[in-house]
Amino acid sequence: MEIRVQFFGRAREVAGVAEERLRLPDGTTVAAAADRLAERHPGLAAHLARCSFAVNESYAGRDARLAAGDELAVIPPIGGG
Amino acid sequence: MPAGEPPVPAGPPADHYAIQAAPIDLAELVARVGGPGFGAIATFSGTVRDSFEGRRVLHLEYEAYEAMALKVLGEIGAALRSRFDVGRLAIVHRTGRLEVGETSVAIAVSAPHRRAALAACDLAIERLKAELPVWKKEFFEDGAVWRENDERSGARPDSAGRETAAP
Repeated sequence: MEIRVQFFGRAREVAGVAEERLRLPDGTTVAAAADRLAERHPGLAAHLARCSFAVNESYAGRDARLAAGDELAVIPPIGGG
Repeated sequence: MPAGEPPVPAGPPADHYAIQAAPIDLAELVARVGGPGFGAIATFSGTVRDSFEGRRVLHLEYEAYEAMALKVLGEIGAALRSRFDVGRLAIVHRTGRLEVGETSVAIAVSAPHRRAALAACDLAIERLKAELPVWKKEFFEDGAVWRENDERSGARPDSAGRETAAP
């Protein structure tokens, strides 16, 4: 399956891209997808451990399972307000 | 409106949530939430401070995951409504480059009575700082950092000021 990944803030800067497509086995968890992102962007690995994730615009736990076409967002510690 | 066309009945204006590059007009938000049934309007504005831990801040840049941020603002609004007797809500956050003194976030809440308006406004900014997918980069003379809110640990003063209890 293919999903869309979006990076924000520091994660976007470190990855050097704002978004990309990722091919994963069906039913991959958010945690496994994060591991794939760390492999693709070695500089991002340490930062990913501090990030939250959103799937289709809602916060999702690392054990959430992804489906084809999902939008996975890497959410660094937030700073709004 | 063309002559002869009946005026569109004005329903109650919906709550207003926005993530915007344009400057925030607090008076406009107050006007949006006001109404004859509401005896109180509480507002909060967060503004760009000129220093962080003694270092001079030159300017800020805010970045938002806009689609999700609008969803989160709607969820915060629904939570306020379920908990307090509030009238109308307006919550706006800026994106892009902001200079010292500019308003980065503004909240306006109307209610029949002041206690609900004040309590809802307070909870709105607390939840916003813990949940809204927005990132802030502070620019100093000698570099820049992504400034993280500290809402989850709750112990240290946060980046917005001294309203949070110091240890």
